[in-house]
Amino acid sequence: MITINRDVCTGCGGCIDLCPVIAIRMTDDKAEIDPETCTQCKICVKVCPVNAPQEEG
Amino acid sequence: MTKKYDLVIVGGGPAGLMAARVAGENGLKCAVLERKTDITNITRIDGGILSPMNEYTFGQTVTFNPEAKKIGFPASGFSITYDGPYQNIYGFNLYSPRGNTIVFGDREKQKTDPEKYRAGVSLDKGLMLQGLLDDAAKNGADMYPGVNVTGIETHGDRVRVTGNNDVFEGVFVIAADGVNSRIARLMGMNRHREFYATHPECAWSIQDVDLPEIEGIGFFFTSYGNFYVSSCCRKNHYHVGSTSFKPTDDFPGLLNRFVYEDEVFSPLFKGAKKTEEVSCVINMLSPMKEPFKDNVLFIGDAAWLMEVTNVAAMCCGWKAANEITLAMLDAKRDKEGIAGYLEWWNTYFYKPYGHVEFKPIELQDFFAPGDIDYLAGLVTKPLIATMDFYKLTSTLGNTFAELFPVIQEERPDVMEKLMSVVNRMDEAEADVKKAGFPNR
Repeated sequence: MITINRDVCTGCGGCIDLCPVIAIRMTDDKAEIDPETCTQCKICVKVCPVNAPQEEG
Repeated sequence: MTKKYDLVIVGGGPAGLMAARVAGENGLKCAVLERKTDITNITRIDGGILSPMNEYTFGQTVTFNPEAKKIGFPASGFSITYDGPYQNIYGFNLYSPRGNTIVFGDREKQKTDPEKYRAGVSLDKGLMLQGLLDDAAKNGADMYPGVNVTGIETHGDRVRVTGNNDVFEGVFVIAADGVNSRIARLMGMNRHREFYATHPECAWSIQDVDLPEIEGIGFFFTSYGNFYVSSCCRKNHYHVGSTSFKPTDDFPGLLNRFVYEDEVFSPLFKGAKKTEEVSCVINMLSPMKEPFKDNVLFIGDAAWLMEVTNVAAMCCGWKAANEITLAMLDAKRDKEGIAGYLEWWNTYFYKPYGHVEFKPIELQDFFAPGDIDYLAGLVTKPLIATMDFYKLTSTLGNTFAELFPVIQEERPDVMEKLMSVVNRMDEAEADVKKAGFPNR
């Protein structure tokens, strides 16, 4: 499962824009991944300039 | 329940807010959908730079009169209010690994008459947007912050935009949602656009440091990466950032190295206080020649390769809202009705700038650090004063083309590398393309 560390996330929206399945939305000015839509392709992990998406488990 | 409007604007940045202000003034009922909850909180990297001044880009120039508290757009014919901090900016600086500098703008001359010779000003962008937001709201625009747009479709002769399980319907939609436009993607507008690169940036806001030579943007080409420093709206405040065309680069790590460890450049940042980390990711696609489909008009960055500048964005918003107003008045609720916008876009954006093929090459892949030091050292006089990125690249190209005989004489090895750039360009472009995420 991939979650966004909100302490690190800057709210730039890059992951939201580039997620191929539109699994990420902006919530209170930071990114939030919908685990049901996410396919774990990890593009958000690769693309985030500040390493906010974190893999768990 | 569907919320019905004359115009639905997706994106509450400078382009979208200006469109809302104008639409409201003209009596159109419009809505602005913005995914941030705080529209004027700038969460993506933006230097707050207002340019060009004393020159033209995209057919536009901008004036700033702090006494009158007005920012003017004389080529288009409107102004906005701004009452906040600012710093004059005068041009670019390019730095080689050892600190040899190519300066754009004869600073000494420029400062004899700053208003006449400055290339722009650095402003508080959030404050500027607040002014636009207040105007738009006063003119009757409905603002919907915190809305994530997930769908768009034609519904009879209207367009429906879905966001947060709400439906917003308009005769026209303006897509002002930036360079990675969701609307462009949903409507298949990117399928025929060339993909160049995924371009991430990570920057820090810093203060309590004095960098008198940076009066605009400095670009730093080190042996291990590319960085920039840009002036903010307050003295002693800057952004320092790391950037490349390889998404997997460790941007915070690179920035750390540049600011704290770089032998040549870290002294610049001694004592700097870091207040914030910001970032952005730009997917670079070739510009839209015709930014319109099914009553959706794409403006500003939503139709471009990268940032068109705050000034151009506002002019796009202004022009789009006026053309849509005329289309509604003329009962031409289709492409013919907004043909004036498409003509304007073609004249000032696509025809002069849109054909330029973007070459996302990294200098360090072609030249050794010493080569870059040598080349930068050849340019001893200031070049033209500009904040226009297109003029920056073309001026550099011309300057070095003129220096070819000197380079051939003094450093034939460097000359050979310069020539080989052309040969190896395709390979370099392909590598960058492969490292990116087109997401079309």
